[in-house]
Amino acid sequence: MSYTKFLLVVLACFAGINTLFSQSEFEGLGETSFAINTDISSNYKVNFAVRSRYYLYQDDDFNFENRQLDFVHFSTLNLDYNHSISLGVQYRIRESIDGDSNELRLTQQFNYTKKQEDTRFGHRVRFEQRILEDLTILRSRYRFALDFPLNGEKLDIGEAYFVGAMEALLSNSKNEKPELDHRTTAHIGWLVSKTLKLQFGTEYRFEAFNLNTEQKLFFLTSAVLKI
Amino acid sequence: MKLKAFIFLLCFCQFVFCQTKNEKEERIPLAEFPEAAKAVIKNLPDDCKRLKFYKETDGEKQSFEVKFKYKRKRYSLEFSIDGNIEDIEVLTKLKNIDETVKTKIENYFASSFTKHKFIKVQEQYIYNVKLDAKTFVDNVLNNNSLKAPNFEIIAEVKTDKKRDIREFIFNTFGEFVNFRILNPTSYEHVLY
Repeated sequence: MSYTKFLLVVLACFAGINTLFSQSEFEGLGETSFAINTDISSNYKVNFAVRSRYYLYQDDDFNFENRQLDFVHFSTLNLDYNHSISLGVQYRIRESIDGDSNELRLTQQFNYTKKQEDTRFGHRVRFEQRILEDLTILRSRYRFALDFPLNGEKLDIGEAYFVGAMEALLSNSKNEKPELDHRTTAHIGWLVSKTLKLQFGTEYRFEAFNLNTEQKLFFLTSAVLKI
Repeated sequence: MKLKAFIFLLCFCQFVFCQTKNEKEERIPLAEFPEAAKAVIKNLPDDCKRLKFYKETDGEKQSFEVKFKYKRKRYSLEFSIDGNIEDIEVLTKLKNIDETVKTKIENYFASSFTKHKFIKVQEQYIYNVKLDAKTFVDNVLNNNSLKAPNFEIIAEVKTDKKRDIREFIFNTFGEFVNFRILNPTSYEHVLY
């Protein structure tokens, strides 16, 4: 791995830390997910995931408090080796956990990747309908991501990889002003075996930065099983 | 809490067990190359840029590869385990291939598959034992190789229902020689 890349990885891992202690509108959260991917045929695959989100730091204090539980399904149709479209459905349970509204979310997605030597660039466009109890939010999002193995040009079993991403989001709903969000994510992952990947990462979010910015730092852990 | 710690530990146990693998490509320092290969690399022109060294293991077979850029072209020079040159590959584009050869290759794809998409095209110069290593490499780099290259083409092809990524070899005249199916390298680290 070149020095530039190494630096990028190190910087990305600590990107959030500066701002951690200086903001009052700041929250720290954790998100843990478990996902299963299955190929149905050479161009159709499905994904199921369970994800839980919990507060680690809020109101200037550290505490642990569960926030929500998501059940997610995605169906992906590969148009060819680097273009795909997906449809997703997600149910979020929040009412019985922290009292906020449950949510049904429908997603349509287009994804394009380009590989240059060992680095893969990904462009993803998503449209979401977030159906809450008394409100529906339409959200459009665009994500630019890049990933590369930390050793060599090919990801072999036992090797680690890096994924970095930036995403911009625009939310529209009938009774509220449009909201703009920005997220920066960095992940380190291990291809543990042919079927299992483990990922650890952080995500820094600027939420509603056109209205009243809230900043959130997420600690992400996930296990991805491919069967 | 105990359960979490247990799961965490379990994950790492697995990590340790999975170290035994038979296919691997890794970056290594030049020092770990075979002596004969080191000598060839030392003789490369000074303005070869971005040299990267790789070792590939596939079952029992090992090989070494150096990748570099020279005069705006990307080369990959492959050595056997004892440091003998196997071939040099030069990254190119389909449109740069001689017109008659190109047409032949395109016709092959059009008639053999319902759909195809080119991913990577390389000229392949197989080592000619009559030449010494330095002359062979210099000839290829300076584009005056006596022997015209083969073409190594990676493409995604679709037969009746199945779709896979294959590596094809065509000879100098654009005639099909053989193919092998490539493992779709684990490209799925980003979810969805």
